Amino acid sequence: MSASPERPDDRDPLVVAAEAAVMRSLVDPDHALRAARTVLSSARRAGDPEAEAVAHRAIALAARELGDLRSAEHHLREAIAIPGAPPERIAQARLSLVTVRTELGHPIQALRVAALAWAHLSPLDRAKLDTQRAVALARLGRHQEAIASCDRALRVLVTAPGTIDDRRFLAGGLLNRGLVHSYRGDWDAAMRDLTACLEISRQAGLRHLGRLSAANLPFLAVRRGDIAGAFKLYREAEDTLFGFPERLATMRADFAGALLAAHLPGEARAMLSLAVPDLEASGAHVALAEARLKLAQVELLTGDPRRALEVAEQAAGELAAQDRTSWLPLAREVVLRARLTLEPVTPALVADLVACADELEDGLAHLAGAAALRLVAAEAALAVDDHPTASAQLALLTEHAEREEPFAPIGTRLTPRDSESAREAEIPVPVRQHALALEASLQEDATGAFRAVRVGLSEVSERVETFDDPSLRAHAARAGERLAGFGLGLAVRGGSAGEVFEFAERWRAVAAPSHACSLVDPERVRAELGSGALVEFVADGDALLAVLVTGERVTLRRVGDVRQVKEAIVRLRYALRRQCSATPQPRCDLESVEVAALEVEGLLLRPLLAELGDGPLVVVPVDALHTLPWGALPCLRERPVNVVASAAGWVRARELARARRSGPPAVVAAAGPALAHAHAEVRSVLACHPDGREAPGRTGPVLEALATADVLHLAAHGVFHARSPLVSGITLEDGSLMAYDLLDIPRSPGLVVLSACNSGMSRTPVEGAPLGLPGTFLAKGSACVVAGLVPVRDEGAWALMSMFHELLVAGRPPDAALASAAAKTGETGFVCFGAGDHPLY
Amino acid sequence: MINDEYFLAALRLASGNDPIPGHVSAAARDAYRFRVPGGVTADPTDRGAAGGVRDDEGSHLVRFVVAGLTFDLEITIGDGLIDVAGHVSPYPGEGALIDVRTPHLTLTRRIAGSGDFAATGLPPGWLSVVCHRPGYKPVQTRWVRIRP
Repeated sequence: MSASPERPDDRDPLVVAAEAAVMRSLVDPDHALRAARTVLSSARRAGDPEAEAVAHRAIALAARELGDLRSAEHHLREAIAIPGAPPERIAQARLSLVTVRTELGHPIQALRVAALAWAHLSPLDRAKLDTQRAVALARLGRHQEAIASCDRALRVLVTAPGTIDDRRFLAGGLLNRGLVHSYRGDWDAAMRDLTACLEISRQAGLRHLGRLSAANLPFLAVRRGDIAGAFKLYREAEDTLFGFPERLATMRADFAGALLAAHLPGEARAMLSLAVPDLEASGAHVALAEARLKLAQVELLTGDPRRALEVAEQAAGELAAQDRTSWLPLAREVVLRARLTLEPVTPALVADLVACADELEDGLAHLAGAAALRLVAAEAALAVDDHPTASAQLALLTEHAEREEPFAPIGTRLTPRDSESAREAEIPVPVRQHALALEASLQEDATGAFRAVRVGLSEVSERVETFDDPSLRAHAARAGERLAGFGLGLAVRGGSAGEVFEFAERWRAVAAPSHACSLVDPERVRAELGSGALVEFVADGDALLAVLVTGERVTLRRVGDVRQVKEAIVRLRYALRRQCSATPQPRCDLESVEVAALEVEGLLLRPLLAELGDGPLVVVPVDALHTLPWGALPCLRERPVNVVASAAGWVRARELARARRSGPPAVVAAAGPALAHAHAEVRSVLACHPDGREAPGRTGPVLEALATADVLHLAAHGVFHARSPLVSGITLEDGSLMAYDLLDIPRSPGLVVLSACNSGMSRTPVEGAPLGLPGTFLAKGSACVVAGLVPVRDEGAWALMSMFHELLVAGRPPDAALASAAAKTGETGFVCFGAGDHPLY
Repeated sequence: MINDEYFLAALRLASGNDPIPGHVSAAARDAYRFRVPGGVTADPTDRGAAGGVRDDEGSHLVRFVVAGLTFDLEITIGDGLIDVAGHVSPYPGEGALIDVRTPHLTLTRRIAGSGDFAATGLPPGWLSVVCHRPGYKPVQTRWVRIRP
């Protein structure tokens, strides 16, 4: 055999050149492809079957790196078919064919190819083969075997002579094992392997492999809870993988899966819509089927059940064709959940749901998903009055919980050992508690049902506590959303305003920043209210309700329909936007605003008007109400309105406002770039206050001012990002002051005024923690934030803010000053967040 | 060469040996469903950007114009789903209705006296709006694709 590396000088020069191309393929695939083609034609002319086989393999490996799986397969098959080629060379071609066949959607055949190759390979090449078999095994869901295969390979490869090919397979083996660890949810082990792989790739100059392994970092970052870091890594990986469409698409699809698991379906959808067409084009069928399944899950979560159904059926077909039976129940789950929203519930559908939950449970890899689906099946059974099925399904979820074990915080419980307990431990707490609550309510035991919900929510709350990042906290809290909805629904049907208030506040406290977690009861709120009123809005399914707390009583009122109110708010916001962008303002635009505002008012506040009194108002919004500029409603003009995320948050903001030291406040104002009136506004503001100074409109000085000022006023452009609300910010001369920048500041001024468009906008993935600038300032210790909820005209903002500060200095509290200034100037787009009822002078 | 291919295709069609595949007819039926009988189509046009506003990023704004009618649409994308607000000018009068359409969903809304309308919670993707006015031909906008 001529492949002996003992005396390289004696070796066939064409084979040496072909091997060089093989080595090159991972470092510089374009170059390797050209070189291998030259060798191939020379080898054909010279009648050198060995060189021909190696050259074909080099072309295949390069093509595979460049994302052309079909061409890779073609050349490997050519290599295998060359008459007279040494068996070891053919086996090496088969070795490379293993991953290619896997990725083309045939993992079982890939394992057969591996078995054929085995006999003719050296021990070292067998180790290399094992790293490739692991990929096929992992795709088939045989994770244990995949890890064993990698372990075996890595033991050999670590002691290998250390040619670039050996290093490549060592690094590749670590990468593959890391990926299997991540499939199994062992993020730390995955990170260890990936880091080792990156290190070896760097040392060996395997830049391309380094790029490929770095492409897994965004995915791992999400799984380890660092969403902001993940997006940064994603952008880096996007740059380095430019030119490798199939790899880039696979990276995006993996990242999307992690985003989906982190309850970020909108972001996941954006990634998948980029990934799927590229995976289709490159023929990466295995990755495509998985990506399509994720897309189906996303379509369902983001409210398009019809697309979800189509895509899930397509994914199921593809997965079945690839013999990946362990994945099929996941696709079926999407189909069934989609049907549940599109069709009336039937006994047959209930049976399908139960069967699918059983299949998911049998697969063991999806126990948490199986439990969640079982709960859905129980609810569906109740919808067709099939109580026996519902009870049987609920019993499976609650049988271990009914031992009435004393409540023990997470971390203090013993790790379950036997498989039965493992299965039990895989039932997510919110699902188990939901099942318990449902069982109790079926037995008319309201007290038991409420208790189950309370226990469940407090456990979700403990999990949320482990995250610092407010967006992650909010998304982690989503795990308790259905349970909280169930508790609220029970309270609404019970008709007690006090219970509705309790469950609304309890749910808001789960996601809230740590300071607002302690619950307050209506008595406490009444003690703070004085002559004012607090309205806490809650959504129960499609119905919008309001709990009204006044000095005299707590009442519950139904106010309207969620969708109707939302549409009216969208119309009002649109009318305000048009009014603001048209200069001079045509009369019809002013009328549009009036018409839309009256409509919102009619839906939202008219049922409450008789009891609202005429004092200051505290509003706890829900859903689309977070985007409502309350000051635009005619019945609220000139009335102080404070908007807060929860009643507890308002009580806490009042305490902060009271704690402020006496004496004239230290006022700092800064202007952002590219506005005609911002500097004039800053001068007007500072002229009002005895202790005021201007800060340069750059991020550094503004962050410094946050640490010392009692009042901070920023006149600048504002940018709101609905998809990543913590990236929203105020545009300063050297960049944006983003909500993220505020997470590390030690304190925040008592009053922050953001005289900018949309600076008050938030996204509220769960109630209790609106994500955006006002919520971030309030969490950092501000008592009150005044910010715009719609685009504002530069000149109008100047007029409004000058008057607002004059009124502050005259001794009016911020909420009343804003209401008067808005009424006088007609600029109704600003809102007072937090507690603005404490005068500064 | 090319003529030969046409000739062969014509022969196949004439002999009835080349039936239209099922999915092609299904797609054709789907497309036909979106037809607005007698409808006039409004094309997208540029709209001037607003100045003097403290806003860096406009939301998604589209304007469609056809003889005598202007549609302005503002599309905002939330957590996956999209909201559509719009304005028809001049006000088409009492009894006018707006259909906001996606390939699977049509939401019918009345038009406020100001000419405003809104529809929320639509899946991203293809979108078109049809205005039905009593006594006039319906006017539909071209389909626009809203990416999430």
